[in-house]
Amino acid sequence: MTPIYFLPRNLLSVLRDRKGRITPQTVDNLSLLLDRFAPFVKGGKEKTAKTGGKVLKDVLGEIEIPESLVRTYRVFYNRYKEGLLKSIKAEWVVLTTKSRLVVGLGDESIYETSIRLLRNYGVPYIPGSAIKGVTRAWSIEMLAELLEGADGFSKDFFERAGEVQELLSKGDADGFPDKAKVPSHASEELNEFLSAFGVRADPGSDVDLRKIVKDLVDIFGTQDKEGSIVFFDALPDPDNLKSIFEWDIMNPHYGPYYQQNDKPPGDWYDPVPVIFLTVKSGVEFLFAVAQSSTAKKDLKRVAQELMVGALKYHGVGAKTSLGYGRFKFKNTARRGQ
Amino acid sequence: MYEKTLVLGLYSITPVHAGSGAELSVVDLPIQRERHTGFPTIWGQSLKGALRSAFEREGKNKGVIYSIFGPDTDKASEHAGAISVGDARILLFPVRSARGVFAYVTCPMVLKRFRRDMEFAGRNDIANFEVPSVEDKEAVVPQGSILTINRNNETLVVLEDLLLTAKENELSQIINAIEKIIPDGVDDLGKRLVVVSDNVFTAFVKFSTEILARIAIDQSRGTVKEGGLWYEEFLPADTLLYSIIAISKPKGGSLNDAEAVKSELQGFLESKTYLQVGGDETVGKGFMKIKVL
Repeated sequence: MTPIYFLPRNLLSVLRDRKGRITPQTVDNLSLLLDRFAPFVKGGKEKTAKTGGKVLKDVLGEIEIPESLVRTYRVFYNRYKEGLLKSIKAEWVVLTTKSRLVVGLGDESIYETSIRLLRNYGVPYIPGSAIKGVTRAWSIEMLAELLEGADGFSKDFFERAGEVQELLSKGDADGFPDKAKVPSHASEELNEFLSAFGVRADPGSDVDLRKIVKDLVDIFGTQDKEGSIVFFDALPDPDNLKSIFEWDIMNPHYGPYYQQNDKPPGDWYDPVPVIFLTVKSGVEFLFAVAQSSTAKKDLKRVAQELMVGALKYHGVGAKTSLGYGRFKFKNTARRGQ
Repeated sequence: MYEKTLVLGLYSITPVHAGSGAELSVVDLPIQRERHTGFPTIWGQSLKGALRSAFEREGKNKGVIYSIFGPDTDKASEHAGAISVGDARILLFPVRSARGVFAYVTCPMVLKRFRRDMEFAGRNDIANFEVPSVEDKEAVVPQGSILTINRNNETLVVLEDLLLTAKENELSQIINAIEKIIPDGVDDLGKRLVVVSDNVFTAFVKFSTEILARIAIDQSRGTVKEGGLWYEEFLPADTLLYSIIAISKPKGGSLNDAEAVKSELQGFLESKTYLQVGGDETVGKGFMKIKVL
């Protein structure tokens, strides 16, 4: 079916291909294509034209990034990596998506779902703010695990995490006990968290909790003080770009139950398929951290280890509780300065 | 009064948020703009602050810093600094293009102002170019542009959702002039340059900056904190601005004449190549590649 575009006729005649579609082959910046040239269809009984993830998928099919864009993006990527990151002595590491990744799923969009793309290049990326956010969130969870049963903290894990967050935001290291015991059932991720600080996590041993908290306060900053670490946007490797996208579906069955208070989750509702765009697994991203202008102590290495832990266990972007947004080291993990 | 000048070219590698404060609008945190044109800018005071803090971080001699930038705040009344940092003005703004991914867009008003500023700075070697005239529905491009689309004997350019008729023109003088202030490593200017009318340019810089939603999450609930959603505006990556630094004889500190200030400043900026400007440093924003001449 030929899609409908609400665009001036002369513009449309320039952008459409033979089948009447606007695709990455006719508009090579995907961010521009998705933002400005939304396809619509008139379906079945409905009188008004509509758009959404499904329409987009039907029109675009499997998205293939044109070579011209890969070339242009490569210039930018190299300027970023070899130029900026090297010159400010950033530490970088290449990690690979282990599951699908979608950042900015809830961003405002005509399709109802969205994905965060670099404005100028139409390439998916992970904002530094998201990376800093999950690194901090994961660190808070790990502290909450360490503080299980500690005096003055809630018994409930999530409430405890909230208390930890509150203290960290204020930079109140003294609100934490001086020492904490490594639980006998310490998880693998807790071990990894502690090893970022060079602490060996033998079950039952004491760790210098306040020292760890001080470093965390330093890394992430407080309401009054800038953090000492810069978390850069993570960019996909240009070699992975060609078929980086994958369509995905969520299929909620109980729409009215979610939307209205008085409706039960009954089997009699129709499922509503929602199609959205993701980054597929197996794509390499470049992550980097550097010292900020106010840094006194060099915590780059610690911050990088924490970031890797967070990306491995916590995940970044939307739907992390369903396993999205996880990263892994490849065997040939690459890192450098 | 001012004896020497330096010209600073600033090219954004990551988006820049030189903020003008909070606003009651769709965008909570807008960027700095010129009052009369609405063009994005980075105020001289923001730039001077960024330069000073980069200078101080490098552990430069206090006397040198006082000469160039003035004394510390508690002694601010003692003497002024020797430099006057002009507002960074826009020269190239990146706009998404249907062909060629994105374009460096400029307009006659911006180019004329650039020429005047370079004359003021005594850089007649840069200021010798002609500014083309361009209608609202036209886009002036150099030969060999990668942005053009040929359709029915017409050459066209599509920027955002705007269809423009391409007019090939000799732009090598302008390209040469801009290349003098564009930092090294940015060498696709000739392929991507477009001159559009002042009106079209104004529309682009007003309505197609980067606006990002930011959130803060409450760890105890895993949902957004109350008041934890805000929209922030950024000058996109790949924007080129320039600023003129005027230098007078130092009135204090350890440097003696304008020449010493100039060489100290120039030497430092040449060694830096990158400068962090504006907010959100710790999430990777505001990194600009610089060139000084």
